[in-house]
Amino acid sequence: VAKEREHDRSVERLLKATPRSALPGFPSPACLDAGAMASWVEAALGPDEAIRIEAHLAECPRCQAVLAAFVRAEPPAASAAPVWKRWAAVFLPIAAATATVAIWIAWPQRRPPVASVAIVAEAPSVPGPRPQPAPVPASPPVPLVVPPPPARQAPPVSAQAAAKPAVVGESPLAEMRLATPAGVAGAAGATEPIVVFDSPAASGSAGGASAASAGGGRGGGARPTALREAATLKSSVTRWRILATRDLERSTDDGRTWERVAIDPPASVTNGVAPSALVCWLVGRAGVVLVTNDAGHFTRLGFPETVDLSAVHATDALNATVTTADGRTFATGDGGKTWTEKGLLTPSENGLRPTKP
Amino acid sequence: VTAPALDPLVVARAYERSGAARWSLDPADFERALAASVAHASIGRVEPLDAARHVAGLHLDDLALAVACAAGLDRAWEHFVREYRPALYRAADAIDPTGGARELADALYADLYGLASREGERRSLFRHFHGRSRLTTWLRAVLAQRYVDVVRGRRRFDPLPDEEAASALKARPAATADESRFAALIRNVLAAALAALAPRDRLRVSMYYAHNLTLAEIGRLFGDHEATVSRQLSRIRQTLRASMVQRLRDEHGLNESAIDECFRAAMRDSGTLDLAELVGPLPAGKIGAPNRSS
Repeated sequence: VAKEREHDRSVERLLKATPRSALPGFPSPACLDAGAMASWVEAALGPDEAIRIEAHLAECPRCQAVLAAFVRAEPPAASAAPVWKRWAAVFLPIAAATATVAIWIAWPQRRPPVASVAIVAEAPSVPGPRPQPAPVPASPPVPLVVPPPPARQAPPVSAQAAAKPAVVGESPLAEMRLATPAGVAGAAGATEPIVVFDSPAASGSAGGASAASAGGGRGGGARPTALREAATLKSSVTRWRILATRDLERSTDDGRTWERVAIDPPASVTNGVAPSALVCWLVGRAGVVLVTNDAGHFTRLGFPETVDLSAVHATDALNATVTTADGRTFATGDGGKTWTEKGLLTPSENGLRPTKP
Repeated sequence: VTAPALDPLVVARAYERSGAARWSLDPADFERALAASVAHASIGRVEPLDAARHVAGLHLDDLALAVACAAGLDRAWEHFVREYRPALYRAADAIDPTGGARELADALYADLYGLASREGERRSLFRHFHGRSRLTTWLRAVLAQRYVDVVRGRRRFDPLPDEEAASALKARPAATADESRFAALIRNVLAAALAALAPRDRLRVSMYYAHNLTLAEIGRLFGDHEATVSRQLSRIRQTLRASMVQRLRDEHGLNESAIDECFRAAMRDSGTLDLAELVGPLPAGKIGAPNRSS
């Protein structure tokens, strides 16, 4: 075998010894015309004709030189990559995104940092009874997109784009889309809202939409039992939105006009919920919890930990449950004076579908 | 065989399919082009050509454009200039990145337009396009032909090696008589082994070793992946080696040590081979039987 390899090297050396300046020779009457060569290259000839042309090409230096120049004349962009490579270019990013989503789903207890991904959620302000929390389907029709846990790197934009967002939270009518704050600010401008949520309609029983956490945690929102604020409900629906700049705005005319609501002292808020037209809870980074009873002046509440908060669920100005970025929940029944840790949410509690069948 | 006549219905359908009407092309011109294509394809055939089948396999839209351009129809020329001329320039730049082929592309463009006239009639190069390939492929082939012929013409006037180069060649240590004999022998059996290869394998060897195409370029030519081309070349080398060993043993009566010495001689000084000549047709008696070495 060693001898054969040595002989092979000798053969290659002999073949490589071809002088680079070898002249291609003069065309002969037997040489191919351009049409024949082009047809042969495109495999547009019958078998007999193709064999004849190939035999000539194999022995005619001039036609070989033309063929070589012809191949070089093909612009690189027009070259056909192998099929598997072309398909791989399409499917590899999709497969990577799918794998990433699958891994995230496999960690339902993890909560993403709110700052990494925010959800734009807007529910229709349809008057009437607020729909009851939808039961968690055993197998939702679309995969749930869950952003990465804190320790992980944010997914590439392509992965996010490839992933199909799903309805998260309690309101089945809520339509949500994922957007990174940076992406929103960069692509759509700083005034692009990252979270939009409505107070319930003022028909007696609370309705409207709820905001949901980016981590797919329990969506905030008013319970139909929010009777304590019933006396304070007005006939209008208050719509809130948090901009990419972390500014808060309010609309009382169904989103036609917006007015900025100052948060004093300033705080970076990332999510909120409005159980009534006047009550609004906001959560943000580093244990920021704010609440207002008059749809204007927010009060910073104490929170037991300086942890990033990703979602809030409230039934009124007193009762709220806050979800931390790492998946724990804290509840209060006294307007934030005291908090009780409830532990990790179960998949059914946080609205996520079971990760494993 | 003579070219078969074209069915008027086939011509009418082809005219419609080609979109020739958008160039306001005279159907008679198009019919003549179809007949020329059939006649050209019939050359050298033993069996009569199925004209309808041939027409159905043509790139009719490209053929209509070529005929319309040859007829000097403005709309067709505008389309050609817009869609094909940039591709022609790109091909020229790809052949010769130094820009040497640009002039050829311009000259080709002039010939396509038909500046040369014979008996007052403008004759366009387009009349040589018969629609069997795409127009872009044909244009590239024409450009490649012209480039090769121009390069060949230039190299004929290249200066001979100067004195220093000649003296450097002479400075190479002289080979012994046995070495020279073994080297000549191995080249001869290599030529015979190359000639025994299948035409496509010979073409692969030529494209890679004589014309310096890359594996990817050869793969593009034959529709293979470059890894496949690499394996094919490796297989061809092994075939050549086996064939050479057999010829040295059977035809020249060398023993194993003499065969090894032949290959070692090739490693020491492979000389300068004209592979283009080696893979070409071998004149009778070119490979003479050398002296037996054992």
